[in-house]
Amino acid sequence: MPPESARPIGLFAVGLALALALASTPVLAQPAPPPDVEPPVVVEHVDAVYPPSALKDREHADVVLALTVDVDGHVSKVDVLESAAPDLDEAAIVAARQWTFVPAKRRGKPVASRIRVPFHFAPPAPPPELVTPAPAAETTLPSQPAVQQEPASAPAPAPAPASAPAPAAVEEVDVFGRVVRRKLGVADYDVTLGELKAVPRANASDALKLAPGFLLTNEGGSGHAEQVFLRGFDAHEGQDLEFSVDGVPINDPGNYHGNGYADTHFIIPELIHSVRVLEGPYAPQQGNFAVAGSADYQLGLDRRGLTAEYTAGSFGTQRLLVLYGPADAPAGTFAGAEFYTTDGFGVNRQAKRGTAIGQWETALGHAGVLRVNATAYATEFNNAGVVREDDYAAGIVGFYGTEDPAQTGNTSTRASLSATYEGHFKDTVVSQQLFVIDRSMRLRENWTGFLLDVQEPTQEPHDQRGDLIDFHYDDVGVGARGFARWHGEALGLNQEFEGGYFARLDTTHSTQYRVAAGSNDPYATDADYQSTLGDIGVYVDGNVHVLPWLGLRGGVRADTFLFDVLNNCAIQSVDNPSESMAAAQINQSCLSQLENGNYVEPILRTSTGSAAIMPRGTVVVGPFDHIEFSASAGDGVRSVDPSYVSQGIGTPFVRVESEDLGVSYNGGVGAIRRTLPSGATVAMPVDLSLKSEFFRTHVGQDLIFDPTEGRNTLSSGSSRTGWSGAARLLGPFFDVAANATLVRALFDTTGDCSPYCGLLVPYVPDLVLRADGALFQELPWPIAAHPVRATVGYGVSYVGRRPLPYGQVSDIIFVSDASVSLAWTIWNLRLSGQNLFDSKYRLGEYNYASNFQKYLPEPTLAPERSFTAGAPRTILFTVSATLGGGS
Amino acid sequence: MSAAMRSRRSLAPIVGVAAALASCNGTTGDTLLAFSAYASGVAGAAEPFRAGNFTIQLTTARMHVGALYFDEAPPGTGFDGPVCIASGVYAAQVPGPVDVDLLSTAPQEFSVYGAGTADTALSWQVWLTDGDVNEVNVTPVVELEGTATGPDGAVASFGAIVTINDNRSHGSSDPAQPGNDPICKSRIVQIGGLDLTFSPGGTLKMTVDPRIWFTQQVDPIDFSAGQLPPVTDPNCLSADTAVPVSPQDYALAPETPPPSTQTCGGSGQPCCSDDAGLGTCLGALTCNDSICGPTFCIPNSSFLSGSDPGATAGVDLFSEIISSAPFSVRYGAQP
Repeated sequence: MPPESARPIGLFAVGLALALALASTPVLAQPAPPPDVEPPVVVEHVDAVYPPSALKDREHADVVLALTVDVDGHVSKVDVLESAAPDLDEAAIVAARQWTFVPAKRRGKPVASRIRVPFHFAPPAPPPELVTPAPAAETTLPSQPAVQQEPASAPAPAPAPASAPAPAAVEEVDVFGRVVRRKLGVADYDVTLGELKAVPRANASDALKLAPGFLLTNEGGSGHAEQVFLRGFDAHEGQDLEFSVDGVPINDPGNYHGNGYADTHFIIPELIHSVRVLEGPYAPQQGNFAVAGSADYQLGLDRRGLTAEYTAGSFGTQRLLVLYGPADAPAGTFAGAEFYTTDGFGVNRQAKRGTAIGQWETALGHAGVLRVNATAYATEFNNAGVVREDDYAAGIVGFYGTEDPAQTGNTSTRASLSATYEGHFKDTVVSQQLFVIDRSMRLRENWTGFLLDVQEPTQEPHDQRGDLIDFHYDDVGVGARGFARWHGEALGLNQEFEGGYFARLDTTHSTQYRVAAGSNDPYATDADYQSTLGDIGVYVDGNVHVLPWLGLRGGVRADTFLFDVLNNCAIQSVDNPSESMAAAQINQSCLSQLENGNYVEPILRTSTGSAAIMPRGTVVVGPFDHIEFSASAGDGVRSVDPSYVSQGIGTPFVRVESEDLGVSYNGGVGAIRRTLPSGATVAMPVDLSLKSEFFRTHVGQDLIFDPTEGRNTLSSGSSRTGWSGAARLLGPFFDVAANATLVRALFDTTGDCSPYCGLLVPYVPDLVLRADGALFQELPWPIAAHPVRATVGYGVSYVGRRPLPYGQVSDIIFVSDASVSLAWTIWNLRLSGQNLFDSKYRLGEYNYASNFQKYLPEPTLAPERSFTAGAPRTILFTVSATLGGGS
Repeated sequence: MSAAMRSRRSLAPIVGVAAALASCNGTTGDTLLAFSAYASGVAGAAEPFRAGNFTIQLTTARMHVGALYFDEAPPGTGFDGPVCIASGVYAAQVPGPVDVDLLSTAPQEFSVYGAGTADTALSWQVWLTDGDVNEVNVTPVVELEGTATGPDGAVASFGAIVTINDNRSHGSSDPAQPGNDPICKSRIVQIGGLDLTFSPGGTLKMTVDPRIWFTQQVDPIDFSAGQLPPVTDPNCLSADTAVPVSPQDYALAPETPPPSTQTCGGSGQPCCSDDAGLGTCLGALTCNDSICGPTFCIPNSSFLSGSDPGATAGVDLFSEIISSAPFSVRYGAQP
């Protein structure tokens, strides 16, 4: 057996050091606690109207205003910081003067403040929008403003109304923003957690449930990637979804266990500001693994200052979280570190985890932003694996038990470093990102018990030694992505064009051994692949307006995939071994011989490269009275794992074609009058968004879980047809979201479809429902003159019956989660419960042959039902305190 | 009407279509099933039959079957190698034992239910084992007792206790392929030529015809005097070092004629001392250790030398026991 290559641990160490450095630097640089300042929050905003006088030129333009917000939340003064044209400046000023705010506060008392708000004018549709962190439709803009205390020489304070105490000084609030992508139709979900953070979420992946159709399960233990079901795809470890965090890829390329394996546990949930979910492959920006869609986590820290949080609860669970966001820095500057440990809810479910994320965001030049992000993450966890239904029924294995207690010692690490520059240059926006990633993971799983250890002629006679898999993966990847987007006028209408690229190079090493029960000695090599992988993508994307109400968005993307694979265990059996040669290789897995004694090294190097050209486009019609229609179509691609390349596959990817037809509504549904602490009454709008879409996706070769290999393997082509819908109602004291997806997944009826022709794709739920709700309100009983804010969150998931192999169906899943929290001054107390009604549910169910030899003298070789248990009721209590960032 | 209400109304048809879509049925194909499994002998097995120059009357024929497995693949060349658990997909299994009286046609139920899928099996395996198929087995796979009447009218009583341990396989002698002949290979009978479709609600019945063990041999066993060793011979008692037996172990058959009419003991009964004198048994039975039982054994070994009495008979009987010919199976509504 060739020795494993030396693992490059240097990058991990560097990443860890940088993450900790970024996490600690602001703290060290802050000699005293930052001023206790809360920024103003937009209550009502009015869009600027593109002035008729400017229509003749029909130009895009940016106007940047400085607004002085008085203690009543009104705009008392407007200064033009960046002018476009007099008429455009005036239009922006007129709109801005109508904005109302919850005023900024210093140590809980209203103060006047100054904020910087850019207006972007684009004629004639869509209406003027903000180029600020959140879309214009949201009423809480800027949702993540950074607060910067103005020095004594700050601009003069606005005159304070006689009814309000005059502030001693004016606070200036700068708004840092990200480049906001255009919406790509109904299948484009910008999932902003907002107050729905109150709904208990076990990890970062749980945030995806706010987008329609997401079902997440985790059968591999706390550190194992989530199994993601979306639009009828069963991404066993997330590989049918392109995951990224602020553009940095998460999916593992070349991972033999699951090519595209996406472990999102390194993301601290409290640092998620939003997730942009694109269902389907309709945007040219989407790359490898965007089969069911893509999800990009955008990080940000709402709670400024230094926050320390401790959680304890069921099953010995403890979590210590430290977050820091300098009050005088933008939301994109933060640091967070987490320690987590649990005994788990049953046998073999212990886990411990450490995570650190640091990000620094700063203005660069006149119109640019630079973000540097570092992450480091390490976890060790056990895995209970599957339980046979007959063993559970016979009382041999408990519901939360394990068939093989040796599934321990699983690990996962990740370190990454990225730098992103985004800048506005007149009519062009540019973005450039560089990243480097170091990943490793080890998994020990036993799906089949004692079934697969076939006696080979060149092995000493042996009993079944057990099928425990010991898998290991290493990856070092470097890459870059960037784009330039030009906006201007053509054909008398607003047009945009974007050109971009994605480039990534990885060196990976996957090994998989079989380990003997009892001794834990590896006795066979399943796989040993060292790979160099390249993925270079280039795209053009347009936003063409043919008519004021008709937009064509899309373009084409081309990805070139390169695989150079060294199989270190290319020959594992020989039908007619030479006596002399075979004798020297008794019991070895990787043989150095061909038939009849011809010598050959046990390795095989294979390389291939191929390109995929993928047109993608969306037609957007509207909006008409806040209603917009869209139709999308696009091709996607998912690369294969290196073992298929080693087997001689010429095209190292699978193609996907998808279509989507949808309608959406985004608008207000009235207002609720609220009285501010100052006594003023304001009308706070209630926003409603609704989406409905039909979709169809065909994939050339589907991935189906193969328990004998412990991973998904390629099968025949399949199609998904379905509908999904989502609704979200956001008001001054509530935030409610619900979504549903119906889907039907069928294997192809033509082509090389045997033996699945026309059958249902197993494991895909036909119906997924999810609802989240949060109520938040200041209680009418202040304590020591400080208000108490209460938040109640509730979430419920329903997963319909999933078809299982052999014509079976699974049970349904119905789980409720809830939390109650109270915030007072710097303190926050939270009580949360997941699986509130202690439902005993089966997270995953399977029908396949396994043999765990519990009570029968002879093996079981025919398929039987197995399951993985969902977590029972889990109660957690959290206390946190925030210093230096406001209450 | 508000915009939101208008929007809701516009979604109604979509929801309706979606509901219809969800109501569509489908299947992943196939189905899981469970069934009862039985084993028995065949009609006529308890009657005298001819094997070569001898007429054989079996008075006892018992077989211990460890398990049955039904493979969707035909028997492959792989089984000629060391494979005991084929790599194919198993359509059904009866993973537990039954002790079958092969002289009875009554269905005798396996100790466990069968389970499987509604698929067609093209081959099957009979596991002649008691416990781990790769470990030492103590329980005899076959126990026989009977008489053989020669052309001259001479009657010889015989017994056979068949075990499968190192008396049947010494493993591979090829140092390059030490795993080429594991003991499990000797304990598993793989049978092809099957086209058996399982379906819910069925019952499995396997039959074994013990007569074939004698009639199919190219050179039928010679029961003439001196051709088989007496049951007191070491080759009858300790050919399998893991399972030593006594002469009394060969006395298996039920008493015949009934005790009320007998003048001396039948097989397995104490030797008569009152009317026939101690050590005397009726017919062809012999008194050994005060028990009437068969006179000769078919040796429990495949490795006796050619000069040993019954050396060929031991090999031939075992070869027929682990051949496919005596076995048949059907799956239907009734056992």
